[in-house]
Amino acid sequence: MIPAGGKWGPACLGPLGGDPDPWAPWRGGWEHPRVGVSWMPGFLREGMGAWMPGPPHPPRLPHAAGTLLLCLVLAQAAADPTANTIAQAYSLARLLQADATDLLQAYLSAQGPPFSAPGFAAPALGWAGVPGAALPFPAWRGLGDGERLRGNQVAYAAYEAFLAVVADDQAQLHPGRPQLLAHLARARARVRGLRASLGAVMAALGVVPGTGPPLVAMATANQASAFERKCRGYVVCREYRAWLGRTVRDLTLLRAKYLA
Amino acid sequence: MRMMIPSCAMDGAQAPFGTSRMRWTVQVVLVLLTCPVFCIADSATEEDPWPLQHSALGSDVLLRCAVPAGAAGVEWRVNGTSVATALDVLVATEDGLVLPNASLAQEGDYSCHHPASGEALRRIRLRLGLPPGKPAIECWAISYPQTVNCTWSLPADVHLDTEFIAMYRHGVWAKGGETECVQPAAGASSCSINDVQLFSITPYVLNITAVNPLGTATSLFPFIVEHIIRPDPPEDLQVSAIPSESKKLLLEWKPPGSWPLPEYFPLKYLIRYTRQGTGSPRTIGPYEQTSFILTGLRPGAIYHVQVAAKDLTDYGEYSAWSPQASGTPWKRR
Repeated sequence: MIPAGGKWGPACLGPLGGDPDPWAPWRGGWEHPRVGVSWMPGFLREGMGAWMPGPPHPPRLPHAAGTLLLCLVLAQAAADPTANTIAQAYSLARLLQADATDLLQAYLSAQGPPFSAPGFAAPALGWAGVPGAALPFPAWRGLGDGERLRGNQVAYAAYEAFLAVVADDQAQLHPGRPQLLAHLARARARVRGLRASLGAVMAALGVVPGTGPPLVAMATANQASAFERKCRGYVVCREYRAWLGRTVRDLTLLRAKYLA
Repeated sequence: MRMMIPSCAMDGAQAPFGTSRMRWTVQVVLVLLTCPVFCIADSATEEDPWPLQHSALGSDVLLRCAVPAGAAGVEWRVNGTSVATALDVLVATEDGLVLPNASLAQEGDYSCHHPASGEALRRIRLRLGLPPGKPAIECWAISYPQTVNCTWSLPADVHLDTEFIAMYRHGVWAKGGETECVQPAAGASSCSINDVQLFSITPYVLNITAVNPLGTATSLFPFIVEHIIRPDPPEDLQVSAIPSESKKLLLEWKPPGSWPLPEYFPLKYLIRYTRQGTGSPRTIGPYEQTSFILTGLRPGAIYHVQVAAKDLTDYGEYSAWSPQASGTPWKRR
């Protein structure tokens, strides 16, 4: 189904499908077991703590229904261009958020011990240049539209580059894992889509795009040892997922602000 | 003067206590910890006629009173009346009065007197109790993202006033040190963290230390804020018939009042309903709207409905079910 009129850009992407969009009210309901397992945290250990990654897993639809839903939603939002661009970006961010959890799990499984241990997490591990999403609630709330969107723009520019580095590393370290490499390539493509979507939101709101800090020189990226590369990939996948959580909240705020 | 509570020093972090009350508590605690179980914590001043002694329930409690020179022994009184040691289980020794396997009934004001003059040589107010066990802690972000609320309880009744020191740090190896988790009143079993970092993959660690005159116990509770999101149940659930619709009911509710920003942090809802007389409830959802029309119902039957809420982006857990509301679809007369 192709909605009439309007400019859809990367939104109605066929293969993406899968995530039910909360913009579309559910009619008739369907039996749904109680979702939402909150894991009590494991006991702290020295070094790599045993934390639950805590996947937020929205319920999934088959591909075709998901795509149809996406297009339906966008048709509904066609009347208001600002709401339309925000809706597109929001849907995409929700999709990517669910996918990022899968990516992190797939990445960790492929690295072998200690990354592949169940419940693995090393929150103290970082990598210079990978954008972190954390900020205090009052600061997040007080961001202006421009700052908020530029923060996203800068972060995903970095993630697009870092995901490429991680893909190269994994091609060298684990050449026999085509699924992981395909997953990383897909994530990178979707980040490009998200960047375009966010660009449309910025244009609709009249926000001036920022230049952002220069990306960490990728030339030095190849000097890391095999273990360091695995750590880097873990940090990238973990922070990427955290950033998507922030982007979903950012777009929810903008939706509430501009849909009224 | 800074003191460290040993059980909190998991990674060498300092636990600074800025108030003199807390410093005094720590000093008393450290003195107690170095004494045998029936040691006297004599906090008497010259103005205090009945200095407190805290001893452990079930232990052999010694109330010290040295026999004065020239006397055969001392006379003991409890709450003013004489203690007849021959008849009671109490044992008078050279060092003083021993209460074997002390029980709560033996709390009271003890005094030892010179046998001849009746002069009071020593007064002791005995309180019995137990050192605290490790607190059991729970934290939930009921009002995400403004605060995190934590509650705790002691595993057993200790019969003594117990205070709690509630501190938290953000990150296992946080350089910033510990911050106080604000308790509503001294001795309360709850506290709240008002400075919440969003989108952080770094856990918070809450440290609750229970302190009473007989000992201390510490528990740590690590958590990631997004994973402990759990709203209160939805409010004001109303079930209404729809005129001329004999198989439908209109449900309407509100997000919980404790959820501060439902427009920026939307919730989704599950609906559970039962027809009166049948056993099994049916659960549908989740839906984002705060109203819903149930269809396919039996005309004239009574339906009982409940709703539960969860963060829309699926972090955390569902709330408890709301209080039940009931209604009947419209019936043609």
